[in-house]
Amino acid sequence: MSSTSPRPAPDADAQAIAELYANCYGELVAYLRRLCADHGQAEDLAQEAGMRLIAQARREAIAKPRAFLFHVATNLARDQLRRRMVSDAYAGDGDYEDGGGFAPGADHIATVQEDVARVSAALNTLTPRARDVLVLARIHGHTQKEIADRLNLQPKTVENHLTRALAQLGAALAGRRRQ
Amino acid sequence: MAMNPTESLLQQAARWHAIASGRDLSADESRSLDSWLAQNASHRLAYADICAAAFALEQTQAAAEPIRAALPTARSPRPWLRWGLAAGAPLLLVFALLAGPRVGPSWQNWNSDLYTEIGKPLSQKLADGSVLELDTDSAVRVRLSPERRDIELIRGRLAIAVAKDPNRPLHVRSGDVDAMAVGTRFVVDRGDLGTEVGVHEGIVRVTAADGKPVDLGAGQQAFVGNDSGATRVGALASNDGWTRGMLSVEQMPLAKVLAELDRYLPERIILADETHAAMPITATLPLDDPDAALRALAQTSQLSLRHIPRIAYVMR
Repeated sequence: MSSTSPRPAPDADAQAIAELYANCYGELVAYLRRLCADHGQAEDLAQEAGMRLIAQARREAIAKPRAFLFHVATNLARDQLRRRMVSDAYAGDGDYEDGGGFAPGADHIATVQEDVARVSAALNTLTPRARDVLVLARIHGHTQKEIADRLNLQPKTVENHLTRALAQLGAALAGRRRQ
Repeated sequence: MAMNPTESLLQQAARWHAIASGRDLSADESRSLDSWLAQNASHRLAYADICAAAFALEQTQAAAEPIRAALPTARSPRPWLRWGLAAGAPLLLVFALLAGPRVGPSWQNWNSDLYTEIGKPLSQKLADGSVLELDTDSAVRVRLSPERRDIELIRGRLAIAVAKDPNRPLHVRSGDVDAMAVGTRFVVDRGDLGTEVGVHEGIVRVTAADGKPVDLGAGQQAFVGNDSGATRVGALASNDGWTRGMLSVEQMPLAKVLAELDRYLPERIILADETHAAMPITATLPLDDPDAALRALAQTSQLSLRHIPRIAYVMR
């Protein structure tokens, strides 16, 4: 790139991050409310995730700021859910063994990076077919039907591939092996 | 929609994501997902694990590579993916982050005896006659026994006028720091970096994790950092105007004043340009109307305010 090409104004990126957060806020709160079933807490977590997005953008460029924002928010919510499970003594239920590894107030930026590394590694354990289905669905936003048509599969087969692949990635984060 | 009970919880959670691929859930599906989540906290956690995996997936290198299966041109990527590609340039603008995270207040509130919401300090007379003033966004546990009086500061800041009772010392604990008094008035402020104890009347004995007690007299304060655990003693600088609903500052750096106001606002405050952080401020601001206080402060310092959801930028 030519050195004479105009650089964007220094606060253009900061402005863009602020706008991304503002534009996503409603959706983020709705998502967190579904996760936590608590509107006040959903707003608090969305705010905290926004602060961390802004702080992280100050340190380095974020390639996927929206995914980063939702990921940080999700990890904050996972923290709260774990605490709630302890508080409510739900933990005795026993059919979902939590992988743990989340200290209260853990460094969520490091956690996000570690999650990305674990998911990358887990991707390599998937069959090529499962991996293609997963990428088509989750990255390119295709429906089950579209993927079924393009890969010449039954929609139900696509759903099963996706379910197993996502569960496998989820297990990589929860620190557990898929049964 | 019925979930297959023989699937693991992670698989059940993953199936919801599989169904929602490339489309929104129908109203019926959405309701049944909500009722599945409501069945058990472990369902929520499993669902959140899958969400985290899906967001992590978007950030992997693999997500940026073309897929191997030969396909006709896929639908154009979602808007945020395009947005993400445009956001490559490093940020030059330096922000001042004024205060640390507000982590888990609701969880702390459940474990407290008395807590305050943001912007709603309160004053409470305890059973022994001591008057406890709890500042904005703070939480304490209180235990009064025949031998001693214990207050644990879980979060935030308190001031206490201790009722005299030589046989029953009053301890305020903040993490590893213990401040002990018989009859006096002092302030304990638990921040992200450590605990500050300021004495307005009487004598307070402060003991940090190292176990070595330090006696503070009126007009003195001590700060114990979370990292070092060392006790630094100095002249009383923090004022207790907050107990009267006012923030009076003289030649205080803008960043510190904003950090004080940040405690009272549901919004978080961000100073957009760090070069303004040291700007000296002399002002008296109403803490019972922190929005007005922030506007007045911005005006005084000739900066402007920009609001995005629950975050206020102070900028040129």
